[in-house]
Parts: sequence; structure tokens; C-alpha cells
Amino acid sequence: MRTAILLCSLLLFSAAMAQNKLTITGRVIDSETGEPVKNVTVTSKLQQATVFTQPNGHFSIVVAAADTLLFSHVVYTTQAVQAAGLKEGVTISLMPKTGNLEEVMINTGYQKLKPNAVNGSYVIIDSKKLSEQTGTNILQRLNGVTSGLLFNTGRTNPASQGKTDISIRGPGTINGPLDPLIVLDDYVYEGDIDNINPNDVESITVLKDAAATSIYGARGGNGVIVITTKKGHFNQKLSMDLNSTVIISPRPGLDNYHQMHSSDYIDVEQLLFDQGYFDNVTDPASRAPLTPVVDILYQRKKGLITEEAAALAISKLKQTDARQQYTRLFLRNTLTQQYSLNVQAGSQRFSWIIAGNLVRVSNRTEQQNTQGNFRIENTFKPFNRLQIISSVYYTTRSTERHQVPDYKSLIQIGSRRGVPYLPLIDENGNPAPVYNIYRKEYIDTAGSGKLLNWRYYPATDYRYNYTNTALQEMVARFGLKYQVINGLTLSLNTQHQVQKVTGTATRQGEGFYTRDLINRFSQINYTNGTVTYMVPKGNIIAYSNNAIRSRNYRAQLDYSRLWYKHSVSAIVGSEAREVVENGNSNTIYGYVEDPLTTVSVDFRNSYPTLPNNSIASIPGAPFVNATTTNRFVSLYANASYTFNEKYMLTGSVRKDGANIYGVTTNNKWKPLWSVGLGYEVSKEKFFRLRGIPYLKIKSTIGYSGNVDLYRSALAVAQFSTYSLNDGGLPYARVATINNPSLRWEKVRQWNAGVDFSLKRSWIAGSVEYYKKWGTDLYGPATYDYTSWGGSNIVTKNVANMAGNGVDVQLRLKILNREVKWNGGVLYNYNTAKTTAYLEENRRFMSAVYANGTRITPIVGKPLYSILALRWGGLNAQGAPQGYLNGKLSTDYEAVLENADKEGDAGGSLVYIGPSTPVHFGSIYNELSYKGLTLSFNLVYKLGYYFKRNSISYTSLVSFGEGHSDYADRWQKPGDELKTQVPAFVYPLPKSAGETIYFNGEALVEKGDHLRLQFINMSYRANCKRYGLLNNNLLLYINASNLGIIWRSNKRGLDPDYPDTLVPVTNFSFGLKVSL
Amino acid sequence: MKNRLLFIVMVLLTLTCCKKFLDKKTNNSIAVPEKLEDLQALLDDQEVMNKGVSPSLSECFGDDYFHTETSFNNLAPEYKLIYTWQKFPSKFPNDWSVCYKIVYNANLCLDLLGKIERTQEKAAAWDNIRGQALFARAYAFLNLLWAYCKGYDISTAQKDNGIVLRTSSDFNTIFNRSSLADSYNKIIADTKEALKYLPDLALLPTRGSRAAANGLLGRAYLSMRLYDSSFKYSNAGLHIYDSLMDYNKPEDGININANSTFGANRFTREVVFYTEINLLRNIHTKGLVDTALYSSYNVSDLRRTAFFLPYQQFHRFKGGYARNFRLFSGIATDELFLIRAESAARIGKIEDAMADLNHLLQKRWNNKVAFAPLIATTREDALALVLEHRRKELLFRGLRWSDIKRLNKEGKNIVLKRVVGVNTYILEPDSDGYQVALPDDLDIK
Repeated sequence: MRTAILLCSLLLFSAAMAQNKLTITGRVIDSETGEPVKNVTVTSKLQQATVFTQPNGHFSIVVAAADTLLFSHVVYTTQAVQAAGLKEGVTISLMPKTGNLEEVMINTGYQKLKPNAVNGSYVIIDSKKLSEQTGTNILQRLNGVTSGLLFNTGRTNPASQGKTDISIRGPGTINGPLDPLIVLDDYVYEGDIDNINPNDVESITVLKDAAATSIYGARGGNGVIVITTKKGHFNQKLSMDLNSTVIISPRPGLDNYHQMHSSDYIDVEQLLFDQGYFDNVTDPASRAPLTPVVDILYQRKKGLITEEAAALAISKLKQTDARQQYTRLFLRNTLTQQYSLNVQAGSQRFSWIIAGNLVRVSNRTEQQNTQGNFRIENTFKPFNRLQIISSVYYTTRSTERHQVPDYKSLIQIGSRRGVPYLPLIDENGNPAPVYNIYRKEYIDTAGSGKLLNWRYYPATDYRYNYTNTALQEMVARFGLKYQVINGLTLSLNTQHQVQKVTGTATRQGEGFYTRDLINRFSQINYTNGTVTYMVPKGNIIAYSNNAIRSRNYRAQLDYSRLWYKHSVSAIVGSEAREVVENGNSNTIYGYVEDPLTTVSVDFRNSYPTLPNNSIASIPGAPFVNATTTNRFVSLYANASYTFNEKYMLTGSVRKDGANIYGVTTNNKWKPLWSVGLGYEVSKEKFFRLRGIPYLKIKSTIGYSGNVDLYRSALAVAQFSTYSLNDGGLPYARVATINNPSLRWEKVRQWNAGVDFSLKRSWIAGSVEYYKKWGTDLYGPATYDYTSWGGSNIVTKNVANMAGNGVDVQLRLKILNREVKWNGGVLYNYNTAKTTAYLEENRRFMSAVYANGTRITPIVGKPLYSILALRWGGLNAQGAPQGYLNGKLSTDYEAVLENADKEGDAGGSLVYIGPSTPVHFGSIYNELSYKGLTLSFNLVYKLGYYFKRNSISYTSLVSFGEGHSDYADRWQKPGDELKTQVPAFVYPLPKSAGETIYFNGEALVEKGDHLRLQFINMSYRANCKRYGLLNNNLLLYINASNLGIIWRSNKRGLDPDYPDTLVPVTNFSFGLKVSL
Repeated sequence: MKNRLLFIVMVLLTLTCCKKFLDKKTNNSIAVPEKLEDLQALLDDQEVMNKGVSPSLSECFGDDYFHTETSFNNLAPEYKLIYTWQKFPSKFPNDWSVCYKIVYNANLCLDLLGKIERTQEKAAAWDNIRGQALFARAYAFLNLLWAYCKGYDISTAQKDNGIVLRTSSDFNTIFNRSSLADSYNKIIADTKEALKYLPDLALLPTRGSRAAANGLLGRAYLSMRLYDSSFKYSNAGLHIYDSLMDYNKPEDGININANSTFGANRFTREVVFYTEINLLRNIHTKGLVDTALYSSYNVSDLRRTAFFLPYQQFHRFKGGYARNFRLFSGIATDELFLIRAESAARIGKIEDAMADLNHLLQKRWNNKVAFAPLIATTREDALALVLEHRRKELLFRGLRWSDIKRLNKEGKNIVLKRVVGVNTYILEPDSDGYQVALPDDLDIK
């Protein structure tokens, strides 16, 4: 308002001051805060004279009275003022560009819309927010900054349900897909997410409710993540952005593997040995490998070594921790270097952008990664009504990865799964052989010296085994946009994508894999002492090729019209899409690179193999994967009507068809719809709250769904061919039986919310409440398997679920002076419960065993929930106690029976709580002073539980797998007051007492915690004054995964990673230059 | 107007083109079986139809093997119960489910065959599929009867429990349990029907053939103790195919070396129809061979080394006509000779019985030692000799359990005994232990 009055008064002056040279002095301030603005470029339009404002906002310039002054600054809207109207000491207020809600557009993939033209629920993450986190995966950068989005780590749902671990507003299904849909620019993205260079991304829009996602039909039920890349613009000068980042990730530690102390473990082995437990395996007839200690004990027993030598060797092993050796041998710091450059410009008829990116990840022992991206996109406007858009996005990645054995698989000796003292290097620091498949005595004598060295040296073996992967992806687009009449645009678009991955696994002749294979297939004639090697000596190379090809076609009409107080905008379109995947593999033996030699092998026949003479054929015969072709056809429409800029009605419908097998065409189509209402209250005359300049109320309801592509009304069989040994005939295996009564899953979602902004935007944000109902959900149901013995369950529409939640996001401008303090708060509440499950013989223990890591449908309980056996502590003998009929009990079978059949109503089982956070969100702070900015993000997850691991004596005895809790076990009467860990008794008690402990309340911990996700510090140097226009330099340091600040559990466990490695803290350093 | 027209054109274009577009197969390795070749491929699914299909219970309950106290203690609790003929928990997957997988494939083929016209050019393939499906279903039914039901007794068979004679692939159709008599009648009727459609011999022994169907009838009638018929059909089977392996000849696919497996070939020349015992409850494979049985083999009897592997101070069975320590349970010519010999002896054709037995034993005898043909003058002597060699030839082939039930009906009074430390478990002839409960997770009337 002040500016307007000022301008009017200036105009009055202008006549008097005509034609004279003037010296204008004045001050530039921020229109919102009133603070002076420095470094504003003040240019006279005619004379092209330029000055900058000083830190106090003052400027002084000499101009002709007829001239116009331009006030421009990177963060403010440029203002033009006629010089004639200016008097001395004038104050110019500039409007800030950023922080203005209306500036950012929502990209639904089909439309770009202003936020206030949408009733649905969405989140936009702009490039500034995205660049606060580093790393090569774009989706990771959504963590902790996206309202309603949760990284649900540590789930063990079947892989067919999802792989991203990302959940938007909680699940809406029990057995259906859980992953959100990922859209790159306008199309569903089928490639590897790592192919997308984060520096190319302009913004990400996350669509959350049914109104927002219904445009994606059946695939949008779990939310949609739309990634928008940077674009060139018309009428834009040449500009260039250069970004360089270095990320250092220190080597991880293995402390999170809570393994048993070596000396405890050895004591147990000694006890088992003395009790005769190993008699079967130590029998020379058995060729099973022995752990080092059992081997020593056996040799001592046989008198092959002395008592003293045995004791000495064992005492040395008691000091050995395989984790330390493993860390020293295999784990290294990782260095990631990222460089990217993009150049863009535009004339009146032509705009373009070219971007390049280079990433190198190196880790000295394990892997080398190099990735390059190249993108070119241009838009040509031959005449005003027509635009031609074309783009190419090319990615290439090559990886060399050495086959470093995973720690847990390395310390497995035969059937003993976790030997914590296993020496990988001997006393002199040389690689030690590990006998993990065959007995030492066997491989030392087998084949009477006719075989290759059959020992395995893990410390060096990885050098001989490596995989090279080469990936290439090309996404090409072409589109036409034609304005038919004013307000009506027709666009025709197509996208073709090809991704090819070639894997080359090399197993060198020196490596154990190759030596082992050669030995196993050696045919020794003991009478004349000749050996025939069915697998030739030399390197083995396994090739695999996989290709994904997708094609998309889309035709769409956009219509928008405004007359008097009515405004209508609509789209109607149709789209067809095809994704084809195929691949093949083959293996080459006896490979020598120079001079090039290969040896052909017999894949067709079977041979007796060592050591057991079992019959096998040589692995790696050429194989062609089945080609999968998924096709979709869709019709969609979306319309909105706004009256008087205040009341808004939106709606959308969509029909999808897919080439689902065994389904009649009629059932292949699925219609979905949504409607929404919006009311911009702040535009009403009666609404005169000056403190709230913007207020909108909105609500939507709509449907999405899921279809299981693998269920059908007819029996479906998988075709293949038997090997020659089995007759070589083609065969068909029944994969799915005829199941004609199955219906689609339906998910309904209702959303209601308020968008608001307070004066000067000091608080802006939204509050939304939603409810989700899933009906006719698929689930396994038992049936009479006399019909088909292939499975005891069939999929039926058995379950309903309901969820609700709240998403709150607030943007705060706490301080806006010399020191700026901006903040952001995200708060999300989400619960999802099973409301019906039509299965009579429910068994509860399977939900207990799932430990909350899988969806376990129990009526009235959260989809992810923790159930545990009621824990009565240990009795005076150190045995676990459960509850039966309200009393402490050691009748374990009865306790388990009760728990399994009666659930938490029976008294033996308790429901503890959800295993996914009910409350979660983040607190973001950004402090800046001049060019220096410090920001950090705290992420919280509250109101949930997790189950930790502990010692299982059955695992310890039968599989040699221990846990550090062994040290805390009950050892003498009285210990039951101090510990919950049961006594170790051998022979193992027959009853299921351990199950009570292992699945009991004692192991459940609260998951609540607060985590420092990242700290980012940057310095922006404005170099304009050095003569380079528009020139910016940004230096930054970032640290991420900084760990937990507060946690509710007392054991120091990370609830997201209770038994796996915690991600290491990453440190990044980088710079950005804009020219 | 212009835009409306454009829209209509666009929608029409999409709708007309997409019908064909959506008919493309999702995966070129899957299909809804509909053609004759598809049905044959379903019947050629060896993993379902042949390998690991015969009930393991039929072997577990038998007396071919035993466990020492130590090895018994290492058995899973469920296995301990089975070993000692006590009530055991039986959940999916089990012998029942494995056999009804075969029944489903057979039913699916028969259901779909009804929709395919039997044209002149495809008549042979059509007939062959119908015959194979009927045969495979009857074969699975007989396996189930042997595992789950009491021995056949004509006086009680109408009342004794049989199995579920499911003849439809639609799981919405409900089938209840039939009587033992009805079950046997169904098997015999279906197999006789199959004989009309099958070729004499199949391309591979994994498919049914007239030789196999005759063999199956021989088996069924033998276990019903209708010896005229078992003679008739085993004889018919042997007329089609009667090749035997000579255990002296490595080229016949036998490896007589005591330390190696039986042979490298799965389809030996004796195999008429190939199946294996499933590995679901492999209590027997880790067991030791009954010591009395082992010591009954003459040193010149090559089966002594061909079948057994020394283990500790005992012996283990090293497998027969199946590879990699699997147990063969199909129909082979040696069994047919033994069925014919036993039936002959029972109906008084003593010479025929001894001729068959000696013909078989000659191929098992070390050819460096003179073979003295066995001689019997009475029916009882002949029968005793045939039964002795039936036991020695057909061990670990899933036949013993049914034989015990049958021989007890003949008055053999075989009392089964397990000794575990101080405990002795006994299964009296015709006791309830012979009636095996159906799986707990089934609700069948």
C-alpha cells in the first residue's frame, strides 16, 4: 500500500522535473520487513548507468529526468520507477520473490497447476530443499522433509509388495503393492532410480490423497512421486550452473552384530563336544567341515595333538574376534565425487538446456562405480500456436564389484552359522584357509593328489571374483503442443525408454569358486590314475543381459476458459503404454584373455561329482528369460470449476485396462473417480481478519484400487523344458489355479484440510485430516487342498482395513532481519487397522513371529503390530515363565496353544502396540547471516515398538548361532532377579520354554527416538561487484546420518536398525557456481 | 463443436485399438492351458507328476529300516511320533497334498479335454492324453489308499474309509470321503478305461502307457488279494515289456561299487512308469537297514553291494532306480515279475512262479558264481520263496507298508516292533495304527 501511494505522489512531481539531469539519492527496503536491502542493482534504462545499494540500503545515481530506474535483485521482483517522479531521499520497497506460495507449480504429470487451483493433498519439494541433502539417490532426499511420507525401514514384506520402503500416508492394502508410483516428468518411470541425477531435478511433487492420485488410476493407490527436471525457458540469457560435491563415508563398524563373545562360544562348543553332540560330524565317514575348535578337540581326543597344544590353540582362538579381522580386511572408507554442469538459454522461439553429470564412487576393496548422465532438451516455437518439444536423457554406469563375502555368511562353517572367532588371517598375518564346505582331512587327501588345491582363503579370494556391470539407459521424448483455439490446447506426446544392463561375472582360475567347480567335476580313474576335467582350468565368465523397453503414447486436450465470474479448466486424454522386459545369460569356461582361448563344456549330460558322487550337470547353460510384456490403456479426465475465485469444484475419472492374463477383457477395465471442493474463505468480503491474508478450506473423496496380476479366473501355467537327462520334453507347471470369484481391491480416501498464511507469511502451512478405507482386500484363506495340493491357501477378498491420520506442515519466518531464522515443522499422525478378516481359523502366533516387520492382519490391531507372549520372568531354576489362565506357568505347550488360538483375549498373549511410528515428522531450522547459512533437520518417530534379538539356545546348539545376551544369562539362583535371559541347559529341554522368552514381552522395546538427520552449512558469495553479472558462488559442507540424539530404549539400540548395520555418517563438501 | 468432434474421434480410436493391444500375453512363458500340447505339457510336469510324489508315510511306517537310540534322539519330535506309530501332527504340505496335486493336473486335463474336439488328425494325441490323465489319477489314488487306509478286506471294504475321489478341477465343487470299496473300484474302472486310450509304451516312462496301466492293475488287484486278476494284468504288462537289467553289466546302468550310488541313469531299462517317494518326512532315508534283512542276502547276490552302503557298523540303503539318493517308487519289470510269480504261486501255478523268480534272480546273481535255480514243489514253498525275494528286491520302494497290511490279511501275522532304548513299540496286525488319520488342517467328511 505504501508503495502505491509513493508511486502516485512521484507521478505528480514528474511534470515539474522534466528534461533535467537529476541526482537521485534514496533507500531500498524490503516491503515486508522494512529492512534495508543491500546489493540491489539500480540501472538507468537509457544511459545504462549502474550502481549498487550499500549495506544500509542507500544509493545515489545521476540520471536524465526522462529516464527510468530499474531496481533488481536476485531475491526480489524487479521494479521500474520513472526518474522524473523521484525526489531526494526516496524509499523504494521491493517485493520478495521467494517464500511466496503462489510461485511454485504443482506438477501432476498431466498438468501443471497453481497450488490454489487444487483441492487435493500434495507436497512440493523445491530444488533448494532438495539440495540441502547430498547423495546420489534422489528419493533419499525426500526423507524428513516431506509431510506424510515415511521411510519405513526394516520391513520384511514379500519383495513383490514393494522395494522402496517408502510409505505415503500408511498402507491401504494387506497383500497388495505398497510402493508409491514414481513419475519422471510426465511418465511412469520404470528404470533404476539411481539413474536420475539429483542435480537435474527442479522439484518433486508428492501426491497424497485420492483426488491427487486418481489421475493415475489403479497404480496411484499408494501415492505418487512426480520428479520434474530442470527446463530451459524462452527469452532467457545464457546461464550456466556448475556443481561439485565430494562425499566421504567412513567405513562401517560391525558392532551392531551382537555376537557372542568368542570365549563363551568356545566354552559351549567344548561342552557340546564332551557331551557327544559332534560325534556324528566328527565321524571320518562324514565329510562335513568342523569349526576350528571342534577340530582341535577331535584331534586331541584322537591323540593327534597334545593336551597342551590343544589348550594353547584354543586359548588363542578365545582372543580372536572375527569382526575385527573382517573390518580390517574388507571394510574401507567410501569416496563419492559428483560433478554436474548445466547450461541453458532461450530466444523468442527457441529454448534449450544441456546438462551433464559425472559421479564416481570408489571403495578400495569392494567397488568402483562411474556414472555419467547427459541430458538435452529443447522447445521450438515455429509460430505462436505450436510448440515442438524434444528431449533425450542418457545415462551410463559401469560398476566393478569384487565379491567380498558378507560377514554373516563368511563365519558359517558347514551347518554352524556364526563362528565368532573364525580366524581369517594367521598369526603371521598371512591369509588363513577356512574349511567351510568340506572337511580339512577330506580335501587334503581327496583324489590322491590329482585335484587342484581345494582350500578357501577368504582374505584374498575376493580378488579373483568380480562382477562388472554396465548399464545404459536412454529416455527420448517428443511432443507437439498446438493451440487449436484460444483456451483449447491439443498435445501429442510420446516417450521411448530403453535400459540395458550387462553383467559380467569373472571367476578367475586362482579363486576358490573355480577350483572347487573343477575339482567337483573331476572324473578320476583310480586304476590308471588319469583325471578328466569336465570343467576346464582357467577363468569362468558368466554373462547376463537384461533389457527393459517401454513406450508411451499420450494424447490430451487441455481446455480453460474464463468468463465473468466463472472459470473452467479441464483435461481429457488417453494414453497407451507398453513395458517389455527380457534377458538372457550364458557362461564361458576356460577363458584366457590373451591369446583369446575358451573351452566348450558339456552342459547337456550329468556327471557324478565329488565328494558324494551325486549326479549333476555343469552350471551355466545358456538361458533365455521369459519376455514379459505389460500393456496398459487408460482414458482419463479431470476438470475444475471455480466461481468468483472462491468456490471450487474438482473431479476426475479414469479407466484403466491392462493385459492381465486369464481375465476377460470386460474385467480388465477398472473405472475410478474422485471429487473435491474448495473454498477460499479469505476472498470473501466478510472475512476481514487482517492477520490471515490467505485461508482456504478444501475436501476431497475418491477411489483407487489394486489388482493382483497373478490371480485369474482360469488356471495359468508356466512353460519350460526339462533337461536332456530328464527326457528333454516341454512341460507346463500350474502356477495359479482357477479362481473365478476374485474381485479388485478398493481403497477409498477422504481428505479435509485448511491452507493458510498469516501476515507477512510468518506462519504459513496446512493442516489436513484424512481417512482411508480398504475393502475387498486380498488375503490368504485356507481351503480344502484336496482340490489342488500345490498350496493350502488361496487368495480371496478377505479383509477390510481403515486408517486415518493428520498431516501438519508449517513454514515459519521467525526472524527476518540481518539474521534470518526460518523454520519448518512437520507433524504426521497415522494409524491403520484391520477392521475385518473373514478367516475362521486365525492363528495368532504367526503374527508374533513376524515381529512387526510384516503386515499381520488381526482385527482391531494395526497392520504392523507387535504382539508378544506375556512374560512372567524367570523362575528359581532360570526357566522362562509365561502366563496361563492368569497364573504364572511353565506348561509351555499349553501357553503357546492358548496364545495361538485365543490371541490377546486368552491371557497368554499381549498386544503391545504398533510397530510403525504413529507420530512422526521433523523440525527444520535455517539460520542465515549475510551469505552464511546454517540449516539442520531433526527427525522424530514416536509411539511405536520394536522387538530386539536375543540368544536362542536352540539356534546355539543346533546351528551354532549365538548372541551377546548369552553373557547375561541366568547362572545361579538369585539371578532371576537381575536378568530375563533364561539359563542354558544341555541337553536342551524338550519343551518350548525358549519360545516364550524369544517371543516374549521382555524383548520388546519402545521405538521412540529423535534423530539428527543432517546439518548443512553454506556460504554464498555474490560476485556481481567484480563485474560478472548474475554471478554466484556457493560453498557448502554437509553431514548426514548423524545418529540418534534421544531414544526411549535403554540399550542404545537404533530402532530403525536394531540388528543390522546402522548407516554411517556421510560428510560432503561442495561448491556451486552460477554464471 | 470442433473440440467435441476431436474428442469423440480420440476416444473411438483408443477403444478400437486397445482390444487387440490388451490381448498380448503378459509373459511368453505362461499360458492358460487350452491346446492339446498344453495338456500334454501339464502331464509332463515331472516335478508334480513323477518326482517326489509317492507317500513317504508308506515307507516311514514300514520295517525296512530302523534307528539307533542316538539317531532316534536326533529326530524331530514329529518324526519320533511317526516312527513309533503314534498320533502325529500333520499339516500342509504332506503326502495328501502331494498326491492331490497330480489329481488336479489330471482333472484339469480331463476337464479341458472335454472342450477340445477329437479330430481325425489329432485323435492319437487326444486319446493318449485322456489315457495318461486317467492313469495318473488312478495311480495317485492307489498311492493314497496304501498310505492312509486299512488293508482291503472284501467283507469290510464297504464300511472302511477310503479316500476323496475328486474328479473336478473346480475347487468350489465339494467332494467327500468314499468307502474303501468304492475307492478301489474307481481306480480299477479308470485304469481299465485308460487301457483303451493308451499306447503300448510311452515316449518316456514318466508318462502312462498300457504296460504301466496293466502294472497298476496288477498292483491294485494284488493288494485286494484278487490273485487271478493280478496274474492276468501283470502278465499282460510283461507281454508288452519285460526287459530286465543284468546287475553284472555296467552298461545296463548299474554301479556295483559299494561306495557309489546305484547308477547314473534315472530311466533304467526296467522302469515302466517312473515315480519317486517324496522327501517330506524322510525318517527312513537316514535310517539303517534292518540287520536281519541285510544278512539274508547271499554273498553272491549282487543286490548286497548294489543296494547298500556301509555306515558305522550297519548299512544304509543307497537308492535304486532313482538318482541322487532319491527313492524309486514307480512300476518296474522286476516288480511285475514278482507280482506275476506271487499270483501264480497263489493260484497253484508253481512252475510258472518259479520260472519267473529264477529268471529275475539270474540277473541278480554274480555271473562268476554258478547260479543254482531255486526249486519248490509245494505251493507254500513257492510262495515263501517268492515273498522272500519280493522283500529283498522291492525294499525302500514304498510297497512294504501295503504288503504288510495285505500279508496280515493272509494270516502272516507280522508284528511290527521298534526298540528305542528301554522302550519297545509294537504294532499288532489289523490294529488301529494301520488307519492313518488324514491331515489335521483338512476338514473332510
